[in-house]
Amino acid sequence: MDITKKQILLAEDDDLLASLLNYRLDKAGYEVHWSSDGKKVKEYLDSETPDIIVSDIMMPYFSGLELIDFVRNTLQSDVPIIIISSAGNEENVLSAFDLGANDFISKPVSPSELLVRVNKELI
Amino acid sequence: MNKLELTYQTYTLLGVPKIHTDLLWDLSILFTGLGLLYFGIIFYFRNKSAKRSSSDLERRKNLAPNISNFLFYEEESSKEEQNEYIDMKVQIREIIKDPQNRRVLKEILMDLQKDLTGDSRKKLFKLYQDYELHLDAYSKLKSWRWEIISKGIQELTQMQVEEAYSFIKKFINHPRSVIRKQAQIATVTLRHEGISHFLDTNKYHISEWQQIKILEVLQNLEDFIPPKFGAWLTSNNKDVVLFALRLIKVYNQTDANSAITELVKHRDNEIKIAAIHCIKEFGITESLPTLKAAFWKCSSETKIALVGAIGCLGEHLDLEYLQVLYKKESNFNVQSKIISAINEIAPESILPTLDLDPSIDVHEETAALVTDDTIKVEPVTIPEEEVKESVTQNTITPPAIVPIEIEEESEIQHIEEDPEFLGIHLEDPDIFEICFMEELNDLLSEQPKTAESIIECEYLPLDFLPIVEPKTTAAMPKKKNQPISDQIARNLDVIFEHIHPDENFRKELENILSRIEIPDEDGNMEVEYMDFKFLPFVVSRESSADDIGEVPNEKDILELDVKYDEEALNESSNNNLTESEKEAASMGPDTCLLVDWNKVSEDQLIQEETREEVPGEESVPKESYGFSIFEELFSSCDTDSKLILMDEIIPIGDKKEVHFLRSLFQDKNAQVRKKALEIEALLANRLEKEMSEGNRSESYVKWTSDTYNNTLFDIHFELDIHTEIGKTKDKRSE
Repeated sequence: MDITKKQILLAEDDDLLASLLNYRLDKAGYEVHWSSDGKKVKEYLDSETPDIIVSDIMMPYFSGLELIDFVRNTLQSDVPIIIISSAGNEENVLSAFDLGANDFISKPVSPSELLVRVNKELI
Repeated sequence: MNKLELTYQTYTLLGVPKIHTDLLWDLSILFTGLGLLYFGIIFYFRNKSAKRSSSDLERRKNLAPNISNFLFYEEESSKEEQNEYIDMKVQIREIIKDPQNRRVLKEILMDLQKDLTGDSRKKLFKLYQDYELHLDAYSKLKSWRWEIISKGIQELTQMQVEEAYSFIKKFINHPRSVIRKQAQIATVTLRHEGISHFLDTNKYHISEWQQIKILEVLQNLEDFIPPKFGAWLTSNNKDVVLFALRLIKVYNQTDANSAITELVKHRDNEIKIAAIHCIKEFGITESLPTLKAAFWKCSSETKIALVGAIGCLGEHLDLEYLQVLYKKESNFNVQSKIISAINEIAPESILPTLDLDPSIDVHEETAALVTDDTIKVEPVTIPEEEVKESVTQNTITPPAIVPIEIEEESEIQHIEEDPEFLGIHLEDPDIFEICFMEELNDLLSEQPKTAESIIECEYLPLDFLPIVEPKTTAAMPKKKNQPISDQIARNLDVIFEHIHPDENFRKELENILSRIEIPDEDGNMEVEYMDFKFLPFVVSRESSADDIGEVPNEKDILELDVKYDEEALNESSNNNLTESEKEAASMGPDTCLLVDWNKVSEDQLIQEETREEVPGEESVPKESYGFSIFEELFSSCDTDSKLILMDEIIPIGDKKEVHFLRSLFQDKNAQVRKKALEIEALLANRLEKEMSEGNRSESYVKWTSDTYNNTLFDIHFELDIHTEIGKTKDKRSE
């Protein structure tokens, strides 16, 4: 593990998209930990604290909203959280912001746009 | 033997047929084998499918990083990366020679194009064509199976293979609707001129859903310059015309107004309505004559749309036409729309009239005292008993001072709706007038024709009025302008009083009495005007006290006080009580022994003497005798009961009863008058005896709740009157 690299927790159940985003973020100089479901995300967060979390809203076991609630209220952490939501799912996005999400990006995702938002949160 | 055979044959028809045991075994083996074969096939294909899935997953995992590498490759990268990129490209070309890998790569790209946008998506489309995956889709278009053709068209459309446009547009008029619809969307998606080609060449029906889908595709196209859809308004395909009209409306193309106006005459209702919507949207006022002309040949639905357009575009000159339409049109929905169109041109020229409650009068409602829960109503502090006591000479409690605890609007409304609550029975004015005149004439005719009686006639026996005890008739008009100086009167706050029935009643009474002709001393008939403005009236605390005769505004009824006739208040014995006496009185009849009622009467006299004398009135102070309980009882009983009650006055009566009995000398019933004379004499004798014996201390009110009940309410009213009188006389003699 490279200490100098910023750590990103990528929570996404779509393997292909996750692989693509993982590649793009890794290429941009971040150390990415990918978890394919909410349970693995929770297990990871119990032991590690990433610099930023990029999470899909719809995930098995543990949704993105529950993840935000867990991070903000249980872990009492101020880690920036960017959520990935389907287009037209404004209600979930608003709920995510109410719970303490920092930013959101809608599907279909532009990897370049995601990179910009991640950089912005980590500045 | 024959008999046995017959029996056997008959028996076999009803029994189980004979089947060879070997055949049964053969069948069992056959079906078992088929079952095993079936399960074997299932297991085989299931394993094959699972193996293929796991293989595909493995291939995906291998190909996904390569695809990511291709998608995010930058030409400005280092030479090592460039070399790596070229090697990978060659490697993938080798890999996709395997049909399975080719299929998996195609699936990956198809999946990713749904999740990606921006440059990555464009690179994805480029990669798809670089590896010549679109050629597979082309081959699908040649298939004889419609579902494969459809899949091919869908794949080429999703991967934005523009070169496929010329191949796909042939399927626009395909006999199979699934392929046709897929081809229509693909044509419109792949090239901007696709919509024009589609509208030009389409021969089939275009469903509503298909129109929506195509419209959605058009709205998502980048840099799309819509053609002039007015060109297709002359199409022979009515669906094309209809779709063109809708596209004209969406893209606000106002260069085909004449054609749109002409389409109002179209035989198809959908086209008519679409044209009318366009006319309404674009405000094509030139089409008003066409709209009017087309009205009577339209269906109801079209008429509604048409009238809506006229209402939107029309002017005041069109109102007359709409009114004519309203009269001639039989459909009530269209009529309603015509009315709304008229109101749209001339706002609120027609107001709702149907199903309105005619009993609701706005003017009366505005005069109502309490209509809003924002009105703060002051609580009544006067106990009910005190209020009753305040009316000394009248048997009817004024409605204005009935204490009511009103806390909610619902109760207020209930009270408003219940005129009997105020003691007023609303009747037809004509019937009331006739009855009242008859009663009045009877009363006047029964009065003795003496000079004294004539003077009394000026007062008229109006005991039924809430408060009738004026000091002088001459002073009454001045009462209007008198401020409420008495502090007690100021303290008499009332929660709520419904004023307008009283007011109407008073006006009605004035109207009737103004026509009463009373003979004067010379026998001439004079019209006597009675002023009834001494009746209790409710005014606002803040409003001017002079405006008694006016109906108070809603603003003036926020806080209500009762403005009593000053005399009525002064005569109220309750107001003259000390605080301890008030408390005692409010505690109920059992505490009446605590109150020295003679002392109260003396206090009243003192107040009477100190009161400002009205000019023209006799300076002799008016004697107050207090309120006799018998008065109230007399007001609600018949003649026989009155006679019995008068017998009871003798042992328990006081000065006030003497006064009360004297008032009965003028009773209209001869029996009562006669009896009152007798009883008054007996009572006066008893009181004189008591006074002479110096037994003044016993002149306190002696009745308690027990005695009151025993002497009054234990009387069996169904007994023979003579028997009862006889018993009373015996008791008295004892």
